[in-house]
This record gives sequence, structure tokens and C-alpha cells, in this order.
Amino acid sequence: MIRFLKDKKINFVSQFKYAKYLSYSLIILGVILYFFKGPTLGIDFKGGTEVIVKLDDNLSTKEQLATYLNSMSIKFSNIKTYGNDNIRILFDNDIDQNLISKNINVVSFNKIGSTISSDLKYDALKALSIALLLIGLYIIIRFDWYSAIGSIFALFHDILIVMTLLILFSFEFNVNIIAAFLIIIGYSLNDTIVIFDRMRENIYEYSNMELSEIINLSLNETFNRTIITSITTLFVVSSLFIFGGGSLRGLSFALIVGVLSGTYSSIFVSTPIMMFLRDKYYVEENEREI
Amino acid sequence: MLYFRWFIFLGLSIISLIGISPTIDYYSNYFGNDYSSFSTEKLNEIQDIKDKSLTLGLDLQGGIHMVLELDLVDLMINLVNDEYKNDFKELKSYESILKNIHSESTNITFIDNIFDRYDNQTLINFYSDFIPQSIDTNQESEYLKMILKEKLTTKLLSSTEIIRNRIDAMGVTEPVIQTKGNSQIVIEIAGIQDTSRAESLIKNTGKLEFKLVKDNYKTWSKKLNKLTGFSEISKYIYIFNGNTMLEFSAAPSSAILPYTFVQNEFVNDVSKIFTNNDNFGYLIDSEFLWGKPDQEFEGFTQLFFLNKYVELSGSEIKNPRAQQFPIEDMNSGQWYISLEFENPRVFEEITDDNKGKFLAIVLDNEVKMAPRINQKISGGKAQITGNFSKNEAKDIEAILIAGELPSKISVASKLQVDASLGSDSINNGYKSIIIALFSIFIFMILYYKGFGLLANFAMILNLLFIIAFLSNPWINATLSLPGIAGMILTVGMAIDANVIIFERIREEMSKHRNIMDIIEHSYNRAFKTILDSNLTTLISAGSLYLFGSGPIKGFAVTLSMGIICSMFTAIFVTKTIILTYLKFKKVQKITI
Repeated sequence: MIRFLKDKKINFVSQFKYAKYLSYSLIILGVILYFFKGPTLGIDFKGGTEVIVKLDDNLSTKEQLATYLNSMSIKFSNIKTYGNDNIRILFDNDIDQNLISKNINVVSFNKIGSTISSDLKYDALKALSIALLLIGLYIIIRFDWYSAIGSIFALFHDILIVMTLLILFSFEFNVNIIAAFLIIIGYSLNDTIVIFDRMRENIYEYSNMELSEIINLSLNETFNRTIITSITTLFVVSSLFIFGGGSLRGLSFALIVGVLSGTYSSIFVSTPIMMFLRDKYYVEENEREI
Repeated sequence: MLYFRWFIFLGLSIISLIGISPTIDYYSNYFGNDYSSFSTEKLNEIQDIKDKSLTLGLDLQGGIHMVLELDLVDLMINLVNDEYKNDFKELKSYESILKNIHSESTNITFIDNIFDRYDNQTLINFYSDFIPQSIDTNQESEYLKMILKEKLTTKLLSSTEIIRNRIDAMGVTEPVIQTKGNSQIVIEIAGIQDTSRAESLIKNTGKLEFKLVKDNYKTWSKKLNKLTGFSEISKYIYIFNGNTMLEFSAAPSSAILPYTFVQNEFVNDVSKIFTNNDNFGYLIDSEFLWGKPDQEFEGFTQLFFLNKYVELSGSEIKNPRAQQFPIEDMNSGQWYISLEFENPRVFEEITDDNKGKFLAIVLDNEVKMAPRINQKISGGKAQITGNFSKNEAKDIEAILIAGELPSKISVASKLQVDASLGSDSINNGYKSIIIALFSIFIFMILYYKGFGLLANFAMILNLLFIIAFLSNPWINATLSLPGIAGMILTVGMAIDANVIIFERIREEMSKHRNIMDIIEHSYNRAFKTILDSNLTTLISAGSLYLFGSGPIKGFAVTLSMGIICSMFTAIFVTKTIILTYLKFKKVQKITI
């Protein structure tokens, strides 16, 4: 019988004050990066043309391809290796496909006009906000509003952290990243709800215990599960990152960061916020009733 | 009770196995093969299997996805009454104003803005055909506004229908063609190999026109000399006088051929000069159009000078058919398009009035041929020849049958994926799934021993259920690349439900003695946790499905299926197996 945590008590609550600074500093780093480096928008959101080329005997390296494009005076904005033997070229404006595919082995051609890209951006933001709103409502109904605010905060926290790291490592923001955000929301929420569920149970069972003690107890009871699930999910997303090929690299990177951040935030973001709100308002509300 | 559990569990497993078998059959035997050698019967059989199997997204099986945009400016011009169609000057200025208005307005405000900025009386004249006599004079512009807005919608629908007919003529399976917003058409054809053919079939307006050729080059060359920049390009334009190529400046008054020649490499330069100067007086009611690369004189492209006036348009023809010249003919084996005129008298008059002239047949602003009219032609039949390949001729036939689009269309976005890239992605996805599953397998067995094995079994079953669900023709889900990621992730998360249950069992073991109590308590308590945590994820997947677009939608379906299936396998199936084990082994103690 292996256990990561054998009847050992970790005092999570006493660590909350330090965790705050870690989250703050990462988010501040994100804000700084946002303004000084800026996110790399993919053509989904910015418009433009993406061409994926398979290298062959004529053009066997990225450099040869770039030289060839220059010699044809075809202007591109970015060229990089994509997966094993593919090269991805980005163009800011519209590009004639016939011109490109004359001597180059084009395996994918993706042109997105500016009207489409703004539609996609709008749809993505709408889907994200409605998802958050509905989740908040559900938690208010099943738990209480302290938990709802705590979990929604944790979700924002995770998305901000993932965005920070995406900007830091120059990953591109595209529709796949939106999908990643939604998976991360799902995962992080899952983690938080499991912990909150345990607290709900323990509050009922040990009605005389201090809130901070109950929180500590619940976090300890669920800690094994938190770790195991993180490990199995990390197996999956890292395998996706390593073997998934070029088009899934950004998505799986976001997922790795998201799983780590989601695990962390369910313990160190949603729980402290919920505890703070409950400490502050639960007593007042009860007194009013008396 | 236990029997009932097994009944459900085995029943669903068998249904899933049946559901997944066409998918396995299709992708191992038929996917990506060349079908051209198969009989129709065999093809129908394959289609049937394909319908029942998992549909892969464009990014995985290759194909083309396009968003087309109707050119509303062109549409407004085309809607103008016939009597103004030849008032080229007026229309030209109207068009340039429309362009300005369009660039500054959305598709919704476009019509309103036209009425705000253009003389309403002129507009009423332009579109008077749409206004019934009974309308009061001061109501006319309001009425016309309404009618024109309605026209934009109906024209979008009719364009969609026309494009659908053209694509159907290609014989591709299950193309997705739908309107989006009030000026866009979305087209998706999966698994298609010849994407450039599909694109030209879709994009071409299908505008067929008969126009007279201006062949008096002497007059032409004099007038064009005043055109800005013409002196630079005139040296690239040649005329063939029967023996040699002459420069345009040395043009004879009439030529043997209806067209001039431009060396292929200068085609763009020549085009530029003409399009930059389309306000030039002489180009108001005349135009230049390109023909095809010349067959006889290699390296040259044909350039025609035509009257803008349309003698006869595509709406006046019927029964277009792609045909092949018989072997004994001098054009033996070549493809051509035969067509008939709705009203043979009109064509008879045109040919009678213009004997000796060349009549150009123009399809989508490219001159297909320009035969000389030697005599009056009665009978109301014509042929378009011009070295067409079989596919070209068939496509022109399809375009002419489907009819002309009400306006030009442009490609707002286009995704074209080669099947080879798709199969790379599938292989990568496959590899990641295998490796991920394998590492979870090892980990779970090391950590939970026998129970780990149980969780692994539930995980595989979960994967089977998801694929069976997605293959179901009623659900009609499409698996795309992010969908694979979502599927792999739900598999990872499915383990979570079992982890929650097993951790509970460990806890409950310290509280209870009876093994049945332990199991019952653990599952009951864990169920509440799993339900809450999964329902929240399901809510976010649902909102993705309702409000997201395109690939995100497919992803949401995969995610939801994953969640539902994992709850069943992780809770119901594992409990059934544990209960059976306890019953038949009569064990008193378990280790976990």
C-alpha cells in the first residue's frame, strides 16, 4: 500500500498568506509581459494566411525555403519548423495560393479574413463568459456564494497564469487555446469542487470545529486524490505535448500549465477566498437572523 | 439486483462494440483509398459504412473549408433595371460611391446608408421594377429600402442553392453548405483530393456573355495612346497579320485573328495599366479581356478588345451539355459544351446584323472563344469549344446548369488541408493516446494494485463508449484535432472518479468493519462528489456547444460524451464488478 500522505497533517491554512504573494507576482509578471511583450495572436484572431509546407528534395531546409520565397519576392511575416518535417509560414496579407504551391509542397493552406477573425474572437469570449456565469450559478445553488466567488476567482487565476506563460514562451493564441482554457476551467473546477464538497461534509459532521481546522482537515483528506489525479492528467497532457505533433503543441503546453495551476489554485486560491468571505459574512448573516 | 447491473453493463458494451465496428472497418479497409476502380454498388456499400462510422474533421482527413462573402456592391449593381445596364458611365460612378459606402458600413446598415448618401430619386429610377404602381410617390423610397433589404437575404439563399447544385455535380459526399450572417456562405467538403478544382467550381460567378469583338486595331491604337502608361506596355502587345507578329503601334486596320497577343510574363503589367485607368474615356463602353494561353504561339496569351454591351447573356440559354467530339471529327476526342437558346430569333438577328464580325463567348470575364460570324445562324444552337479537359467541360456544364450567381463572391476565409498532413496528425494523436494510457496503466496498478486494474478496465471501456457514441449517425459528431485532445483528457479525468472512490474506500475502511458497508458507503458518498464536479464541467461544455463556433463545437460534444461515459464506467461498472467479486469470492477483507 503506497500513500503519498500517510496520516500526516499539513497545515495548509498557515501557508495561505505566502501563496498569495506567489499568485500576485505571477499575475503582475503577466501584466508586465502583456504590455511589454504582448501576446502573439494567431491568424484565427488577427487574420492572415498560414501555409504549412512539407519539405522535399528540392527544398529540404527552412533556410532554403526562406531563400526561395525571397527570390520569388513573396513577403512572409514568420517562418518556423512545425512538427517533424513540416515548416509553417505566416503571411500578414492575402497570398495567391497558386503562386505559393508552384514549386512548394503545400499540405495545408489556411486563409482567414479580418471579418471572420473578429467573429471568432467574439464567439470565443461569449462562450467563455457564459460558461463562467452558469458555473457560478450552479455553485451558488449547490454550495453557497462564498464558494462560488472562490471558485470563479480560481478560474480567472488559472487563465491568467496560463496566459502569462503563453506570452512568456511566445506561444500563439488561437482557437485551440480557447479550447485549452475551457478544459482548464473544467479541470480546475473539478479539483475545487471535490475539496469544497469535502468541506461541506465536514462542516456538517463536525459542527463545533473552527472553520480553519475544518479546512485543514478537508484539504488533508483530499490531498491524496488531488495529487494522484494531477499525476495521471499530467501523464496525458505531457504525452500530448511530446508526441502530439506541431498543431497540438500550444494547446498541450497550455494544458500542462493549466493542470499545475488548477491543482495549486484549488488549494491556495479558491479555498482562502472562500474562507475569508465566510469568516467575514457568515457570522454577520447568522447574527442578523437572531 | 446484481443480474440487472450485469444486464445493463453487458448490454451497453455489446451495443458499443456493434457501434464501433463500422468505424474500425472503414478506417482499416477503405479510408484514404482511391475509389475510382470500384463499382457503384461497392461505392454505395462503402458510403453506408462511412455514414455509420466516426467522422473525422477536416484537419484530420483533409479537405476544404471556405467562408464565401457575397459582393454586395456587385449585387446592387446587378439588381439595377435592364434599361440602365448599358448606361456604363452612370453605373461606374454609382459603383464607386457604393464601394465607399460599403467600406464604411456593416452589412446591416448598408442599404440605409445608401439611401442616406445617394440621391433617392435616382435610386428609385434604378430599381423602379421593384416598385409597384400602387405605391404612393412619397412612400417609394421607404418601400424600396425594405424591398432591397429583402433582396439581399433572398439572393444569399439563392446563391447558396446555386453553389450547392454545383458541388453536387462534383459527386462529393456530404458537403456542408450553409448561410452565415447576412452575406456569408460556409462550405465544407471533407476528404476531397482535388481542392483547386472544387474551389474554382464554387468561386466562379458563372456569368456567360456574348459580346462583339472590336477588331479595328488602327482606331484602337490611336485612342489608347492617350492612356497613361500605355506607351510602356504597347510594346508587349502583338498582332498577327497572317505571316508575322506586328507591334501594336504598327497595327493594321483589320486582322485575321480576333485577338492580340501578350507575352505571358508581361500579362500582369498590361492588366495593371488597364485596371488603373478604367475611367479612361474610351474604356467606358469598351473593355479588354484575357483569353487563354495561345496553343499555336507558345509563350503568348490572347488579349481581346470587346464592346461592353452584352448581346446575349447566360439567362437566355438552356440545356448546356458537356460533350465529346466523335473520333472521326477533326477535333477528335476533344470536349466541348453544346447549348441552345431560349429564343432562337434573338441569336438569328444578332448574327444577321453582325456578319463578318467576331462574336466572343465570355465566361466569368475570360474569353473562351471568338468565332467569326460568316452567315446568319438559325436553329438556336451553339457550341463552346476550346481544348477543354473532361473535368473542365463537366464543371462548365455544372456551372451553366446551376445558373449565374447574383453577384461576385470573394473568399473570406479558407482552410485547405492535405490528406497527408491529416494522417500525420492522426498518427501523432494515436501515439500520444497509447503512451498516455500505458503510463496511467502502470501507475494505477502500482498504486492501487487490483483496484488499479479495475480502474484501467473502466478507462478502456470509457474510451470504447466515447467512440461508439461519436460514431452514432444520430449524434453526427465530428472528431477534430482539439477533439482528440479533449478525448485524451476525459480519459485522464475519468481516472479521477475512480481515484475519488478508492480514496473513500481507504477512509471508510477505518470506520466500518463489514466489507459491504464499506463499499456501499464509499460509493454513495463519492457519487455526490463526482456528480457535482462533473456537472460543472458539463455546464462549461454545454455553453461551449451553444455559443462556440466551428471546431470548438465538435470539441464540446467530445468533452460532454466523455464526462457522461466516464461517470457510468467509473461508478456503475466498477461497482458491479466489485460486488460480484465480493459475492462469489466471499472475501471478508480487501486491501487497497
